[in-house]
Amino acid sequence: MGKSDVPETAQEKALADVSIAKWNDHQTRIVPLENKEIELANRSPEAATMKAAGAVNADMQQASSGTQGNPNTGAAVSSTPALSVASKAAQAQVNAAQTVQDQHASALGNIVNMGQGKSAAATAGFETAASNASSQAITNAQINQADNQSYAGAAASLAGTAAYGGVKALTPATKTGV
Amino acid sequence: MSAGSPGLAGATTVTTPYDPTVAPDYTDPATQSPALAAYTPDIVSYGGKASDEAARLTSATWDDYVKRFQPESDALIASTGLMNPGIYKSQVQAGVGQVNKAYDSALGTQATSLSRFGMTQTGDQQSYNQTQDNVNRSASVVDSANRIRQRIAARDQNIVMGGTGTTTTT
Repeated sequence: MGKSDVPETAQEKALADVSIAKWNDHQTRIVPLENKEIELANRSPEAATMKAAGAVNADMQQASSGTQGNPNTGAAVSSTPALSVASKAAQAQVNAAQTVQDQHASALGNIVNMGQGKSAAATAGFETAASNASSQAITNAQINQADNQSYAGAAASLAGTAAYGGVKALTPATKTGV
Repeated sequence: MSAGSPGLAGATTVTTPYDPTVAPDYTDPATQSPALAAYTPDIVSYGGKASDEAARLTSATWDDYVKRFQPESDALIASTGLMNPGIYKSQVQAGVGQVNKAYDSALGTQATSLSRFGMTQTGDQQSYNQTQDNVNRSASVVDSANRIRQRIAARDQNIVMGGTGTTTTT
C-alpha cells in the first residue's frame, strides 16, 4: 500500500491561504456595508406603516375636499360623497400599510438570501481548492500506489526469478534422447 | 452548538452559542426585531496545513452566519402569520383603526366644507347620514380585514417559497 499521509500540494496550500485572504478582506471591507443594510431591514415597520397610511389619508382628503360640499347640488347635505371618499381612502390606507409590511418582509428576505449566498460564496473558492487538492492528492496517491506496485512487482519479479532459479536449481536435470 | 468535531489537530471549533435543535420564540419582540451585534471582524489566521486553514474558515463562516444572519432569518419567520398568528390580530386591528380614521376625516372634511356655505343638516338628515355612515363604515372594516388577511397569507406564501420580492399587491 501507499503512504497513509498524502502530503498537501503547493496549490492546495496557496488556495487555502487565498481563501482566508478573501474572507478577511470581506470581513474588513464588506461586512460593515452589509451591517448598514441589515440595520435598515431591522427597523420596525410599524412607524413607517402609520406614516404611509396617514400620508395616503391626508392626500385623499385633500384631493377630494372640493367635491364634498357643493351647495349647488341637491346632494349637498348628503354624506354619500364623503362616504365614497372615505371608502376609497380606507382601502388606499390599508393597501399602503400592507405594502410597507411587504417591503419589510422583502428586505428581511433579501438579507437572509445575502447571508446564505455570502456563506456559499465564502466557501465556494475553497471547495474548488479542496476539489483540486483532492484530485492532486488522488493523483499523488495513485503515483505512490503505482510506485509501490512497481516495487512490489520488481520484488516479485526478483523473487520469482530467484524462485525460478531455486526451482530450477532444485529440479534435477533430465536427460533426453537417451 | 457548543463545540465542533473534537480531536482534529489544528482545527478550531465552532464557538458561537447556538443550538440549532431549539426553535426561537417567534412572538418575542427581540426575535421579531433583532439587534445587530456590534461589528467585530472575524479575522481568520493563517498557518498550519491547508486542511487546518479550511477548518478555521468553515468555522468562521458558520459563526458569522449565526451571529449576523440567523437572527434575520428568525425575524423573517416571525413576520409570517404561519409562525406568529398574532400578526393577523394586530394588523387587522391597525387596519380597522385606519378605516375609522379615514371615515372620520372624510366626514369631518365634509362638515367643514358645508359650514363654509352656512349649511347644516337637519335632525332627520343627520340620522339618515349616520345610518349610511355606519353601514358603509362596517362594510369597509370587514373588507379591509379580509384584504389584510389575504395579504398576510399571500406574503407568507411568498416568504416560504422564497419569492419575497414579488409579494402580491392587490
